[in-house]
Amino acid sequence: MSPASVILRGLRKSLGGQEVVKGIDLDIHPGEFFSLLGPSGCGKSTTLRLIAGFESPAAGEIHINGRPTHATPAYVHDINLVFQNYALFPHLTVHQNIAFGLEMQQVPPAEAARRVEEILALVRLSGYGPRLPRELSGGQQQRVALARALVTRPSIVLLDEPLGALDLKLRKEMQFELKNLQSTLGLTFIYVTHDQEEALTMSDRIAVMHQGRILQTGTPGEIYEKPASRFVAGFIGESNFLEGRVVSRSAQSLHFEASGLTIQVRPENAASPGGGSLLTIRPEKIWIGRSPAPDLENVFPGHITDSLYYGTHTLFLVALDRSSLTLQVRRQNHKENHFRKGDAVCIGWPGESAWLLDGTDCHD
Amino acid sequence: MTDASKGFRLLAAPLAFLALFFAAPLALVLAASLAARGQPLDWAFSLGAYQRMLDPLFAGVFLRSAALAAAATLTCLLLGFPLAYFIVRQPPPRRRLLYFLVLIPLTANSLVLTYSWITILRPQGFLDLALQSLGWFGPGPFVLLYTPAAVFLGLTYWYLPFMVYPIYASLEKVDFTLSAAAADLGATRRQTFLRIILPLSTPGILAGSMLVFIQCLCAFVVPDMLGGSKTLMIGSLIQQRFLTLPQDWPLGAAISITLLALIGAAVFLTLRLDRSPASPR
Amino acid sequence: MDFRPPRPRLDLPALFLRANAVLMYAFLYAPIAVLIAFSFSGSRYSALWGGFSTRWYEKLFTNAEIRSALLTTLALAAASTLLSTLLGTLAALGLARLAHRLRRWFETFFYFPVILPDIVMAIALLMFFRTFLPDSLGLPAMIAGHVAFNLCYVAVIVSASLKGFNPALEEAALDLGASPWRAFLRVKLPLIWPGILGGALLAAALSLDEFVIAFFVSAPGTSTLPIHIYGLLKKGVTPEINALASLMLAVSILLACLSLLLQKRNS
Repeated sequence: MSPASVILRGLRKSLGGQEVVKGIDLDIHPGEFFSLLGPSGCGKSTTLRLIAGFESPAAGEIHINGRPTHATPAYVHDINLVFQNYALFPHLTVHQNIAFGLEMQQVPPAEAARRVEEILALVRLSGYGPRLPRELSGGQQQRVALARALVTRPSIVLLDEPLGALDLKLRKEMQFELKNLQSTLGLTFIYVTHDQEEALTMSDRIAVMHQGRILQTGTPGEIYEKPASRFVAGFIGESNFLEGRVVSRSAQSLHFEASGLTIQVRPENAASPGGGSLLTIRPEKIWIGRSPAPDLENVFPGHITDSLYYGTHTLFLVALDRSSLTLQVRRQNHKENHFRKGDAVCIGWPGESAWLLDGTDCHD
Repeated sequence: MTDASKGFRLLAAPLAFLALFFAAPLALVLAASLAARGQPLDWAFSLGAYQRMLDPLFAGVFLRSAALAAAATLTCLLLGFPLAYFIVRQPPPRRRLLYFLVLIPLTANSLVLTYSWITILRPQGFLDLALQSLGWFGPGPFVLLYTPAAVFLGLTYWYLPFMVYPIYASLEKVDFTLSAAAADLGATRRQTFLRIILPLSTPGILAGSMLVFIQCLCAFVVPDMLGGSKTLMIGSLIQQRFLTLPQDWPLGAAISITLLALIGAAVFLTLRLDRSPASPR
Repeated sequence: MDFRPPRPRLDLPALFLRANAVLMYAFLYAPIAVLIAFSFSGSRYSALWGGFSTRWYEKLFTNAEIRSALLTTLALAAASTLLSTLLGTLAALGLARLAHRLRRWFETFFYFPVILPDIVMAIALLMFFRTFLPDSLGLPAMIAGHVAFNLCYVAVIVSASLKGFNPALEEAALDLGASPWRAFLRVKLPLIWPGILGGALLAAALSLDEFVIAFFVSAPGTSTLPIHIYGLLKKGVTPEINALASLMLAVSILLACLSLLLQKRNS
């Protein structure tokens, strides 16, 4: 089975009297690892269920490989879903669970058995066939659920926050495995998660959703470096937000005034050509030092009001002199930290590190 | 197909069956209560049945039924509440077993169990011989059979589990750590019981009492077998109107409809009262 | 383990509760014990023990009337159990799919046959059959009456076992290509069958013992065991009735216990 493309147009869905999906348009390419990312309640799981065929849309269309599927039920689709709580059949063994889809496809038993063993090896659970789901750990159950979805070689695999129930270390391992499997098998994965770190590490492209709408679609880099709205900037990673306005412009930079500071921003670092009223700068892009830095366009003096140690880095809260602003600054701990609470410091960043947003769109 | 429409498709057959063999017959009873006397009845509109029901001859039967039902209900409550309370306070594994043991007699044949009471209460029966041999109450014979007392005993016996069931359900929901909190605040056990436990179990008490009272009122087997012709109750009254001559179907129907109306009112009241702040909803 | 206030040495309330409980259990089971005990008594006058004997049971098996009543009872129980289990399960499955409000309404409707006094049901059915289906009095009418209330019991029991069923399992089956019917057969049914069986056993127990409805809609010639016992009792108490009654009791209790065990297994 070759991977399929998925196209969503104007998808709408209401549940319990409330509209949870308010017009979604998406183009997912074959063989992509595509993530739907957003906070709980944003409609991402519902969108997934619409694609799977468990719900029918109130309006809009779903096309898979060009064929409309929004009116066909789930058992006709060549799509498999990995459920959040795995939904393994408790009365069947691991082998029978995985073979279920093959049985429905009427694959001859000998061939089915062979493919089950194959997939068990792929998810590193060889020999677990005769066991019952309740005898397995959470991570093992998750891999069985995955195997069950993959063995029928579907053109699309849907994953509904499959790693949510696992502890951190196991989750990171599984993220790696999932990504590997996906690229090895060359399948289209549509992955739903609220964990932005997970989405950034695994996806080829991400759609950020909020309150039933897609706010931005793009590669992880695009989403991270060039968020389209305040919500996206705040949801992905950490950000400093500075409200102000563009007061003048030259060929190389825009001059942004905020809280008594004048900040230089590259013109191409703006979400809209006119500039914007919200400046975002990520903590890890701000340089911090004792004396004014070399050749950074934006340098401001301040003093440290707080510091949080994270092992790999330290987060400083720096209150700027001549301004009411306090910024978060992240500093790698590759050298000893001489900075302590109360120290006077200088912080700064180059013109291309900040990003200018139109602050009036999509509030929480 | 939505979930709801799938649901209705599945419900179609059972609902149709109930409509045909439950709702329709009851509707027929209502219609019959408004019919005239005949062989077995005459389908002409008449309120005669309801008028005949008010005949003072029947007043005795109604009163006796109500009195016996009330007595049995009260006794069931006084005996059943402590029993339910005792069971609820047991640790979980033992508690379930004890509860099942209360429910088991319910599933047994009412006829058979009532019959065993006959063997106990009749002349030369268990009770008679036992009391005679004890000699405390004189020579005897001690025959309770075919007296109102026997009916009272039978009703109490048969409906005790019916009383325990809702009271137990109600008590089960009570958070007994509340009594710890009360004790902490200085309440005696008696105060805790009266001011906290009892009010919280009121829904169960009401439901149980209404259930038992209604069932006692309409009981047929127990009064018929243990009460004989001297202790006529509503159930037997209805039965006679239908199965023994002279038949009077409209009257039997009228009595039944009245009973149903009472039941309806009682259920409605219970539902209403269940919404009070005392119940955890 | 909740904290209780310190108890006085002689804990009267607790003593009373325990004593009452003991008495109540004795009260509930005394008639059962007496019945069974005296069915094995050799004496004709059942109040006095006459030595262990099984002759009353033996007499039962040779009685033609009892055999015929037994057959009728078994046929009635079998038919009503089958039908009520089917209809009750359908009802439970249907109710599970409804939205909360609607579901409440229909559930209340299914409770009515259970709380209705049996004598009212009995005369209602008598009238109904006499008026519209006079030829169906007897076994068919009995079956109809029993199924009407039994299906409600089954519906309640199966509903309880459905509550513990994870709906994602059914979706997973559909997702993997099973049609709704196959998903039901291969995933749902295997997981809820203890509840269904428990409901069926309860329906059987209730049907075997049911007297009032059967009595009212019986036709000359069709007699169930409870009706037969009732007739015998009108003539007077005999030890054969003890034996018959004990057997019926044993069967009912056995079925009820099995039913409860199965229900527990499913919850």
